[in-house]
Amino acid sequence: MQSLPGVSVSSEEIKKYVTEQFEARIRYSWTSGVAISRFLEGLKNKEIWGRKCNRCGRIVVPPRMYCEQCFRPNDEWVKLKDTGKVNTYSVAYVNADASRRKEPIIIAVIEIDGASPLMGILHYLGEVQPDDVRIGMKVKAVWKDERKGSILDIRYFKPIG
Amino acid sequence: MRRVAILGAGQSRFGKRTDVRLDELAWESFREAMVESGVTQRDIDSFIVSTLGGWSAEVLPAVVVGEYCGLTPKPTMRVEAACASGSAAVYQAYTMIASGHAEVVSVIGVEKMSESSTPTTVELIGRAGNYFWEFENYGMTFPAYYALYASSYMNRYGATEEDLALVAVKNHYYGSFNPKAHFQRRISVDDVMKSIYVADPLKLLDCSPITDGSATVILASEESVKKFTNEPVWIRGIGAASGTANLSKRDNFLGLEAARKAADDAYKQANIERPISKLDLVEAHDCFTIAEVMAYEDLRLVERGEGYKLIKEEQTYKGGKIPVNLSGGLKAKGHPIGATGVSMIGELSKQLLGRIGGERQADIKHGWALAHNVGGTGHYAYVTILSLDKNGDVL
Repeated sequence: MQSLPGVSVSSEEIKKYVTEQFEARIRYSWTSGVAISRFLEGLKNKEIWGRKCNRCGRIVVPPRMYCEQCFRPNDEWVKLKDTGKVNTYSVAYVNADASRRKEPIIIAVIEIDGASPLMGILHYLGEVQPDDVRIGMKVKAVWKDERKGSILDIRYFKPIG
Repeated sequence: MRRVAILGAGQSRFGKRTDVRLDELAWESFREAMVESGVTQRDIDSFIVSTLGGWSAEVLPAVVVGEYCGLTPKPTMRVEAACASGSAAVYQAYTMIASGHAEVVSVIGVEKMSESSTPTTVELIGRAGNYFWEFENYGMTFPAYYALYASSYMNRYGATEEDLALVAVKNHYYGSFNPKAHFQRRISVDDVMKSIYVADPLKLLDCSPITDGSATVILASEESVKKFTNEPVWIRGIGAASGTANLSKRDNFLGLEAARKAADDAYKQANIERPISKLDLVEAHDCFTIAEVMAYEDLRLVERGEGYKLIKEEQTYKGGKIPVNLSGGLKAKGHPIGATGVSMIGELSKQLLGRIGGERQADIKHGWALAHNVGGTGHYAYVTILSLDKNGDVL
């Protein structure tokens, strides 16, 4: 700090000044849209649905109603498997508000079987120790008993075979 | 500086669009613009996204829109100039092309305001300006800021609340012919006068609504235009200016000085001396009825104090001296903040090419049109002038 011009101010000194505070109270209602609404409905039945474009042949998940590459509405709903493989992963030790977790969560990009390459979604990994997770690992969805049309109807993906 | 043209434009249906997400909403207008222009994603060098946000959940709307529209990995940024964000984004794209940095740039304006409750949205807009001196202590709303202008204008020039109401009646009339408008119902002066006061003298029907929507225009350099279309619309002037954050620091409350300066800059670039006799139509920023009346004067369509007489004489209807807001304006078409300016400019390009049709199609005699887009309460102003002709005058 010595080398910089100006006067340094400590956090204690700042408290000498009057500050105004406000709390932002924001509650967003985020619509899922046409394609994701149908996708979430499918989860209630333990089904993962994608959309297929018959021109380029791609099957996309999460689904969308238009093919951005062929520039036309895509064509049909395709039921995918509830298995996939880990593309990449992270072991997270903090919560969304930066507070420290007691137990880490493992979050992974999972490519869903039956969709085109690199079509994946983020989800938790479970029934596996952080040290045992490997890229390319085969995984399968573990579904909740009570499902309500949420991405968390899948509790997590667990390693298989 | 190179000349810049509009190749195509698109607009989503405006309204409360809980049926689609932000990226799906953007796609609706992007797709229409791409089809009209014949441009593909490969041809696009960069895309600029205008969103004010805060009320919507996406913090990085530009990349969300880019991924959905198949534009990744083209360079992008979000541009914000409050309610003039759309025109600011066009300005950014224009300078990129004019300077030789890019050939084809897509401007996508999108706003998803219904992701927050009305009280939250009203509060967030109310903070636009100077937070501490205007919002923190008084809880000002946007209608209240514009009401300060309305009171001053009416007091000085003798305009009445009924006069202001005529602006809303006109814009709802044209909105009734626009299938993409938020409101498609005609209203009467009586309806406006009987609506509840929001901030005296402005009533509910003096105010534009909270709207979801998107609009896209695709711009190209003079060299690239001929690859795609024989019917370009040229940007002949873009004027821009800013106003003080604090309303209390404005010189007067009879007009928006930033809009006046932006207009004068744009007229100078386009070499327009007498706008009312050269422009075929205007899209003006009628967030409130008083704002359109002030726009008539800030744009020098009439002298100061004469604006309210222009609407009283129905001169801003089609067939009058200068048609204004044949789209329905912000008042009836709706005001999805970041999309508004893009929508104005796209609409005018279609108007000049005779592609609107029906009751809303202006008579194109000179081939010139103007978009007047204001951000905040005169905090930002952009005036964009379009022409069918690249260099001189048409007709």
